[in-house]
Amino acid sequence: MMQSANIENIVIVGGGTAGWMVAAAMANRLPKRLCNITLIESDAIGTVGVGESTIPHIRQFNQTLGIDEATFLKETHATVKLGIQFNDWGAIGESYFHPFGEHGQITQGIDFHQYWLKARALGENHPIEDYSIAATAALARKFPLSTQDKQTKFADYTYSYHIDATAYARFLRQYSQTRGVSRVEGKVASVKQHNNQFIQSVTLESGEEIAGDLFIDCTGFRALLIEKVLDVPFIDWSHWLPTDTAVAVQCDLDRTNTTKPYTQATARASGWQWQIPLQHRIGNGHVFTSAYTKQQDAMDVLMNSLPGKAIAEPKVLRFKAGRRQESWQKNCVAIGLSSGFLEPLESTSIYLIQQGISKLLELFPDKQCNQTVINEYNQCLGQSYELIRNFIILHYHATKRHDSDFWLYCQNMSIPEELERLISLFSESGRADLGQFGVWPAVCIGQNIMPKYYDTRLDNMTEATLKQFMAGHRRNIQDMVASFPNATDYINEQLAKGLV
Amino acid sequence: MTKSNSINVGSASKQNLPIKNIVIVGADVIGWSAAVALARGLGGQNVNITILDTKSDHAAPNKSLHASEHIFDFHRLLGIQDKNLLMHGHMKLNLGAKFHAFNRENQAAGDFVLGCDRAMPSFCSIELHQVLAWLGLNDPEKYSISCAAINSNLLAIPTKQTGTMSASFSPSVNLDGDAYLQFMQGAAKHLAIKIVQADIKDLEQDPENGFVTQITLSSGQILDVDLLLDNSQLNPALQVLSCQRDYINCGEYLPFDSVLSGFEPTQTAASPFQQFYGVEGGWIEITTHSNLRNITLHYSSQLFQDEAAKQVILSHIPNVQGVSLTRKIARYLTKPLDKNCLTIGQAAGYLGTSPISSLVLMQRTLSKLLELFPSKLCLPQNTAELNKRILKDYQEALHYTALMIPFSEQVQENAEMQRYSWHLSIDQLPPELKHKVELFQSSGRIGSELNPLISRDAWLNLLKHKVKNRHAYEPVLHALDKHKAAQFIEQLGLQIEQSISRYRPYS
Ligand SMILES: Cc1cc2nc3c(=O)[nH]c(=O)nc-3n(C[C@H](O)[C@H](O)[C@H](O)COP(=O)(O)OP(=O)(O)OC[C@H]3O[C@@H](n4cnc5c(N)ncnc54)[C@H](O)[C@@H]3O)c2cc1C
Repeated sequence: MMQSANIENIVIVGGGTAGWMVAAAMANRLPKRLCNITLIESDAIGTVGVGESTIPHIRQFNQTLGIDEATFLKETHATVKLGIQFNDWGAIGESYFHPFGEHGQITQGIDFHQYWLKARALGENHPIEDYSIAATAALARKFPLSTQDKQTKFADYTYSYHIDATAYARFLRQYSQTRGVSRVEGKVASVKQHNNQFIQSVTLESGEEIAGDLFIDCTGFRALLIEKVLDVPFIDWSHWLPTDTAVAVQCDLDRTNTTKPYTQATARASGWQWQIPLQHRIGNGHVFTSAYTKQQDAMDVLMNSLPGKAIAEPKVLRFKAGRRQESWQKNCVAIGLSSGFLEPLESTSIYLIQQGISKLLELFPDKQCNQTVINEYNQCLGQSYELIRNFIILHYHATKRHDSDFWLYCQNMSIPEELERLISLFSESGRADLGQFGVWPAVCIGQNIMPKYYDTRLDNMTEATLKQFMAGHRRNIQDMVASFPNATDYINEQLAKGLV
Repeated sequence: MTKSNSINVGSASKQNLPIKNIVIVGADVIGWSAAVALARGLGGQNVNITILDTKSDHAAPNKSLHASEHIFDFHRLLGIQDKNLLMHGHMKLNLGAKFHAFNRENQAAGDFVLGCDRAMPSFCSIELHQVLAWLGLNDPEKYSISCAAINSNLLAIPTKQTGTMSASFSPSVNLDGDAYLQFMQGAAKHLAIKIVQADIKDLEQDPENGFVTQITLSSGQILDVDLLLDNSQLNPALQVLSCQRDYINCGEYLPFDSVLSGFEPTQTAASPFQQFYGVEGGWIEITTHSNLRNITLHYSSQLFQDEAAKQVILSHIPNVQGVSLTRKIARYLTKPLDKNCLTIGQAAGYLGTSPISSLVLMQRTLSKLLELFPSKLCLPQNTAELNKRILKDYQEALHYTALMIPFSEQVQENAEMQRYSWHLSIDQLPPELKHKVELFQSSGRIGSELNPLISRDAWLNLLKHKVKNRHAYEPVLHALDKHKAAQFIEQLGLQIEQSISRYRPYS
């Protein structure tokens, strides 16, 4: 066996959400004797300061790190999230909910939404949300008491959080530092490479040189190492996802009201607007396409529809959809915004950071960084990006809005072949592919992709039996949700536990 | 709008109605099991299931069927109690296979044993095989409970015992072909499955879409068809069906186009493993039941004359009886469901009898059919999705078999080491499989799996035997205590020895 030397020094450049998540996970997973972990961050540059809505996988991350929920809620000012409410997407005036967890249960081997489609063909008009525990609870601002993911007889549900991004990074920083990660403040000014182009060291403005065997590029959109040094190209997806700017602002929260345990995503003339409630404030942002809307107009839309008084100056962020052709090259792995950007519509960025981290730990290299291992990593990450990309494009493409050039463009643009296939599969017979990201029936039906046919096996069920079955489902879910506490009470209870 | 389930096809409007009449052509064990699976899976549906053949069954006396662990899932779907099958001796657990003379390098000592370990123990969350590589222990079989049992010719039975370090394992089975057929026929009786014995005289096809709508029998009887399951390669009298079909040919990887099989009655106890022997023109598979030994030689007609093949069989089992020869090409259909006809059994695909048997592939095909159950119209997107899922299984099965049988690491290293001309070098493997082997070579890693046909553990098991030339082990190990690791491994070895002492031979 030709074992090559071990990685002894890991250098993480960047201390945003990505950098500190990497540091925390590595400090937790890699034995201390193996290597030193150093994180460099620049206070002068700062972080993007957004990224507050998450999906349930973050709970797994917390669990692996041994972070309990009460501490997490307290440290990150987090609230709970059961899904996303999409307003005005399929058409102006329409609203649907993308819940964490499927609607109903597979019954007699047949997907539940097939029953719903048949009931609808028979003239029933209960929205499909009525069959989702997560959606029903969310819209009633309730939250299930048990924090375990539940498989009930009626439907599954799970949940995630809304977090304060800055607090989250600070929290993970503390976690990492107590577990041996060294933090260096400073701005990387230059980079040295070996003859084989492997990165040798980074030099800070102060003149300090930090050498390493493995470099993690977490420098955000700057992509300092992967792009500026290693020159790895960016695959541009902006023809499918044309939004390129966001204005973001935080506002006050009316504490007398119960928190909404969900993210709101409201479509606008050339983009959409988010609302993410935390314990102490609400995060707001308007994502738009600069080719179709002037920045000032976008800002006005945002500022005129805030649910409370603005408590900070609005920030402007520019971006481009796409991904790094290779997230990992030589001895440098890009994680976070440096490895790609998919806009926040389905709150997937932090999840992609997690994917990058777990793959990297699974395939942890030696000094040589074997190319086959690198290829495996890049292929897996590439797949994750594409799955999510297609899912987000679906939201823009499947719309009947024709109130602006932007929506007309989205409706008429050509879409990736794979997405084309998935849409025709669903619109023909309500079938979804396996291994997809998100709850496809929720979004497809929500955006008016109505299957032409339901599963004909249901024609053997009488109308009366079906209606009874559906009514029973609705009633059970309503009863269950009625017994849940409201979301704010749940959070307060957890926080109180943390104090004991 | 889901107003009604109707569609306009050409000028005529066709209703999208539920499938009512299912006809399965071909009454062997595959046909009967398919019928039972459909009847169970469509319980509560208003369907008629008919099996059509010139005879009511194709008994295959003195033949055993091998099936991977997936058979247990299938039995669960069917509500079959595995205990009953085991108790009556119709089903025997099989812990793996012993490989003889597959590599020149190993000619003397190094035949290997492929176990069925799952969820191997780990040391500080590092996988066992990595730890063994780190410690320079080149004898993985010693630390695998199924391998150890095979080496002592004992039957290990999985227990739910906790607190033991030794791994769990997941046996495959050998079925008594005739008993299993009868068992399925018995089950079919309770499920109102009809059997019709007759030749096919004529097929009625819809002129617009080519769907088979009716089958006219030689007796004059007419069967209505909404969905046809074609298992008819079995019986030439039924082969009007096999119109033009597109196959993916796998002969490049599995050049064994001839199968010579026979049996020998024995008095010896069943053995809880199969035996594979590499020979010049192909390979031999031997399965030993309680009263019967089956032998099969898979060979390439390019490399062996049939007469020479017979001699090879005789040299392994001098008293072999009932020797019969069939020709089969390794291949699989590009569109298992085509129009309203789903091909199953060996006409759908053949990739050698082991380790992924036709029975298991058929079972998985039917589970997928039930997931995406079509309507009378067999809608095109749904059909495409179903075919995609079925093909994934065949592709995975091909890769696994290609790694298990023809792949040899020696070929590339040194042409002189090459033992058989059917050996494949790493560069001759299908690209995805090549990547898998290279990844394992580079660092002992296994890529993420998406297809549950072959579990991650099953891949690992095979890779660790077939890919010895590893460049590196898990680097994180360096930070761990080597002494403790060695102790852990020693403990594990002892535990396995202890467990083995509790096992008994198959009786
Ligand atoms: C508008 C918008 C909304 C979003 N909403 C969500 C959401 O709801 N959910 C979600 O999951 N994600 C969201 N994201 C994405 C999310 O914000 C990011 O994935 C996450 O914050 C990770 O960012 P990062 O750590 O990669 O980059 P950053 O936060 O930009 O961190 C970069 C770090 O690198 C350092 N740095 C840069 N250059 C140098 C240098 N030369 N020397 C030293 N240090 C340097 C910086 O100081 C900083 O510490 C959103 C993104 C945008 C733009």
